Amino acid sequence: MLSETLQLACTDATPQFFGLFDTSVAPPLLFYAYIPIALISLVVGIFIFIKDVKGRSNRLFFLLAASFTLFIFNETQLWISVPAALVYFGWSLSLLLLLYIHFFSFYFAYSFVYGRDMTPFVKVVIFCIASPVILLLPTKFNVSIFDLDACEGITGGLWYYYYFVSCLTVTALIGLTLTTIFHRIKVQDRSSKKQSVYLLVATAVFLTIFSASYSFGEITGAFEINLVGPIGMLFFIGVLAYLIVQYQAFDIKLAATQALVATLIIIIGSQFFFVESSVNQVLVGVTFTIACIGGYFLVKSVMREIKQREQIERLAKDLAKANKRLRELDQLKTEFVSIASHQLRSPLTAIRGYASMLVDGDFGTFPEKARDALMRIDESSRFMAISIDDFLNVSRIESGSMKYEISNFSLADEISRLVDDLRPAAVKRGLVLTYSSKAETDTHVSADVGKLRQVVQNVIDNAMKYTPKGKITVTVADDAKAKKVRIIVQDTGIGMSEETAAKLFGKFVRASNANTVNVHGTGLGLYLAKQMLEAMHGTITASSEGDGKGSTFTIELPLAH
Amino acid sequence: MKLVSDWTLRCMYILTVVSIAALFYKVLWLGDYETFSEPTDETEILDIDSEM
Repeated sequence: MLSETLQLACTDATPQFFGLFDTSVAPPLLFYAYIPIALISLVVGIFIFIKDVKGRSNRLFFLLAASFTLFIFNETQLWISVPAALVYFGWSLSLLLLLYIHFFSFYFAYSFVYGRDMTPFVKVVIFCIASPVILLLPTKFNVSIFDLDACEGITGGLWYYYYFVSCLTVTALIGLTLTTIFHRIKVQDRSSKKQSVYLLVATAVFLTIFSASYSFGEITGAFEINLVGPIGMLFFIGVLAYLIVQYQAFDIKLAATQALVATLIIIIGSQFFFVESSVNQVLVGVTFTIACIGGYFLVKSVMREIKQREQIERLAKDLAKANKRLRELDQLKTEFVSIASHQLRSPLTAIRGYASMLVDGDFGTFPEKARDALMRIDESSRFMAISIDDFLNVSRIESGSMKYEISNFSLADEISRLVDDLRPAAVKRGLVLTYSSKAETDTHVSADVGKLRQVVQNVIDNAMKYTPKGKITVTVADDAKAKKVRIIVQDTGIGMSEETAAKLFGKFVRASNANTVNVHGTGLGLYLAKQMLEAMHGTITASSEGDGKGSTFTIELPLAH
Repeated sequence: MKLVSDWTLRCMYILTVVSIAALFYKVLWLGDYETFSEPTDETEILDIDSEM
C-alpha cells in the first residue's frame, strides 16, 4: 500500500537517492544553514538534558531542541522529496511541529523564570488553544489540496489559526518579560532576574523571527524566506550559551563547550563529503585542523578556568566560615571581659574602701612600714579599678551599649576646672601644669560632659606619667570659621617616634619607650579616648618631634550651633 | 487539581500521537488526499482533437 501511494511524483523533480529524493531542487542554504543549526541545537539540548535528566527546565529545553530538529528535518524532507504523498505528509506535519516549538518555548521560558511547573489553569488554556491544530491535523483545514506541478501543499484555514497562536505566544512572552522586569515575580536575586529577562527576550525574538519568516514564506509562496527562520534559533542558542558562560545556568559550561566544539568539528568534517575540487578539499582540511587544535585549547582553558573558580569558591567558603567563627569568638571574648570585670569590681570596691580607711587612720594608727604597704595597696587597687573600668568601657563600645548623655556646655570652663583639679597631682610629681585659653567664642560644644572630662583627664594623666620633669600646658583654642574648638595638651616628656604616634590609638598599644617611665598601663586609655571622641563627632591626634622632645595631643570637637 | 495538571498535557501528547497516526494512515497508507495539476499544452491539444 505504501509503495503504491509513493508512486505519484511531483513533476518538477527526478528521484536520485533511493528513488525518493532529489537534492538538486533544494537551495544550497538548506544544507549550510538549516542542518548545522539543527545539529547544534540538538547537541546542546542533549548535553543540557544529560546534565540533569530530572530537571524540568533541562527536559523542556531538550524537547524544544528536539521539536526544532524534527521540524528542520521535515523541512529538508519537503524540499528534497519527490513522491507527492511524502511532501503532503510533511507539509501537514509542519503545522504540528511549529505548534510544539511554540509550546515548548513558552513552557521552557515559564519554567526557567518561575522555577516551577505551569499551573493547572495555564495548562488547560494551552490545551484548549492547541487542540484544534492537533485534532484537525489530518483534515483539509490543514492542507486542502496538493499542487503536483509546484510540489506544494495549498494550506487551509488552520494555518491562519496557527498565525494567531504564534502572535499569542510572543505576546505572552512579552507579558512575562514585563512582569519579571517590574518585580511581580519573586526571583532569588538580581542575577537570576537578569537571566530570566535575557532568556525571555531571546525566546520572544527567536519565535518572532522564526514565525514571521515562516508565515511570510507560506503566505507569499516565496519559500526561500523560510530559510531565514533558523537564524532566530541561532540567536536563541547564542543567548543560552551566554547565560551558561556568564551565570552558569544549568551548570554545564564545560559540557556545552565540548558539545559546541564537537558539533563544529563534525560540521566542518562533513564538508569533505560535499566538496569535490582538490583546492576546496585542502581548504576544508586546513579549517578542520585549525578547528580541532582551537577546540582542544578552548576546552582545556575552560577546564582550567572551572577548576580555578571551584578552588576560589571553596576558599571563599572556608574564609567566610572562619570569619563567622572569629566574630563568634570576639563576641564571646567581649561578653567574658564584661562579666569578669563586673565580678572583679565589687570586691575591689571593698578593698579600696577599707585600704583608704586604714590609711586615713580610721582603725587606729599603724607603724610607718605598715602605712607604706597600705598606701601601695590603695594605689594598686585604684589602678586596678581604672583598668577594670577601661575593660568594661571597651566591651561596652564593642557591643554598642555605651550610652552618651549629650548636653551643651562651655568647653573652656570645663577644662579650666579639670586642670585645677589635676594640678595638685602634677605638683606632687614636681611638674608644672598650666592652662590658657585662646578662644574667641564661648566654646560651647554638644557632648557628654562626663565622658569628655574622662578623655581629657586621661590625656593629661598620660602627659604627667610620661613627663619625668618639666611642664604640661593645656590650651583651649577655637576656629570660628571651621566651627571647631581644640584642646591642646603639650608636654616636655619622653616624646615618641613618628611610627609610634601613628599607631598609638590602637587597642592595647603602648609606646615602645613607655615602660622606661611608667610600668602601669593597659594600652586602652587612648583607644577609648578615640572611640568616645568619635562617637561625639570629635577627633584626637598625637604628634612629637621625636624621642625625648615632648609630645602634643590635640582634641578637636565641633562647636555647638 | 493535581489530576488536572497531570492529565491535561498527557491528553495533548496522546492526541498528538493519534493525530499523526491518522495522518500517516490517510496520506501515506491510503493516499487519500486531493491533488491538482495544470493541464499541459499537449493535453489541451489532445482534448481539442477528441472534441473535433
